[in-house]
Amino acid sequence: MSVYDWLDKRLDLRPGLAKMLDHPVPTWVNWLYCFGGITFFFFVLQAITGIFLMLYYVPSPDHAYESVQYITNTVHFGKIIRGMHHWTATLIVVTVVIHMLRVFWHGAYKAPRELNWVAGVCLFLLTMGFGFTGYLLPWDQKAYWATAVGTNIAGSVPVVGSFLLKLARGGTDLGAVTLVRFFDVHVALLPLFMVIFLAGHFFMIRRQGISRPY
Amino acid sequence: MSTKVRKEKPFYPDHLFTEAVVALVVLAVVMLLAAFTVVPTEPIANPTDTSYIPRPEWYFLFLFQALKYFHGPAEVLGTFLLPTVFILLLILLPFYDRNPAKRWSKRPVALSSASVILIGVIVLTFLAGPVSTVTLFANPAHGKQIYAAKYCDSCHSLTGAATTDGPPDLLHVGSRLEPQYIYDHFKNPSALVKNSEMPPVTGLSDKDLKDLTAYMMSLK
Repeated sequence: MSVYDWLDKRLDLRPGLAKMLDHPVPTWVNWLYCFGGITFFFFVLQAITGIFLMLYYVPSPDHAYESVQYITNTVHFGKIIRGMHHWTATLIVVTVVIHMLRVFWHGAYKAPRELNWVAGVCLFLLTMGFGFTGYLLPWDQKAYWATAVGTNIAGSVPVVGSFLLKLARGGTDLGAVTLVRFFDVHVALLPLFMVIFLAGHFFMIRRQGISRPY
Repeated sequence: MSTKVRKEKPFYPDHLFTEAVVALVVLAVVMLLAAFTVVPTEPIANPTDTSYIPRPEWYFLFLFQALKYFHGPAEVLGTFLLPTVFILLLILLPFYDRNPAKRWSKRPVALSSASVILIGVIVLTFLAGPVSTVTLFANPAHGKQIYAAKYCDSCHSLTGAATTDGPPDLLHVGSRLEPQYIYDHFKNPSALVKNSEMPPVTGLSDKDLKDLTAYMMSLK
């Protein structure tokens, strides 16, 4: 008796698995449709490499820069793990945009799939949020000053600007509190929202099926 | 029955197999990039160095460039109003685009306005300056060794001293110049700077020149 049979006897997995795996895919689905899947694969890759980076990364101005250098130069496979996280962060933006352009081109956002388009735009904004918050973490010159400019932009919003600025920086200055905030948002808050919106995105595509391009 | 076979394929295993192949290929691409490139690293953050000119990551460049067109009280248009309108237009797209047609030839308004926005974003990105590829595979630490080995320091200082003529100080050269310019300048200084006393940097491989350029770019 296989492990699967043993589990199936107790948990009755067959109907659920069958529902997940047995649904048909139309043959007109071609390579243009793979970019959403690649984006999801990249997100998984970012989660895995991110977990490894967190083993050594220290989110404090005194140690962040050094810990990134340590990961890159000393830790076994550290250069590869950091390099993969860096390159995937760039490539994921490319694949998200191609995926969105494909959906637009095929008119797949139209009724009855409006809500899945909205979820998709939220996932795009979350991706940009990952990019923006991840930028500060190496605590180098580019990180510090680009974040100074970025948080200033939040500060220019009418009425709530100064509140947003203080919320983002954890005070008026950009320092240790800011770094911990960005780290927290990057590794806890955004991943949580990402998983929720991804679940919604996949649930909707499964319920509604792939839109015919004509 | 036969028509159904032609129109559909099962998710498992057919479609999942295709997805797995694609995933393996992109994994290989990412691992090769990680193995054969150097993640660009700048000096540790220095909050007192206000001369540093930050550039955002390439996918924020269009926004960065758009901000340059709004000054003073109009600045809020670029920093807040324009991005907000852009995001709202994106989110609400299926609610204001009520044309039920899906084929592109029947959606002239949607396709042409999206093209205008897309071209605008691309043009703004390139106006903000292309992201240089000269130093993409270069090693600034090796460039630093070349800097010493070629006795660059016998003429150029790295102190931040003000220089009006003669060999310029190089402490912040990376924030003043673009990598392509530095690279071309090494090959033939007098072609870019009239009456330059600097001799062409010779006896180096192309890789060495790029490493030296990467070292220059790390001086911000």
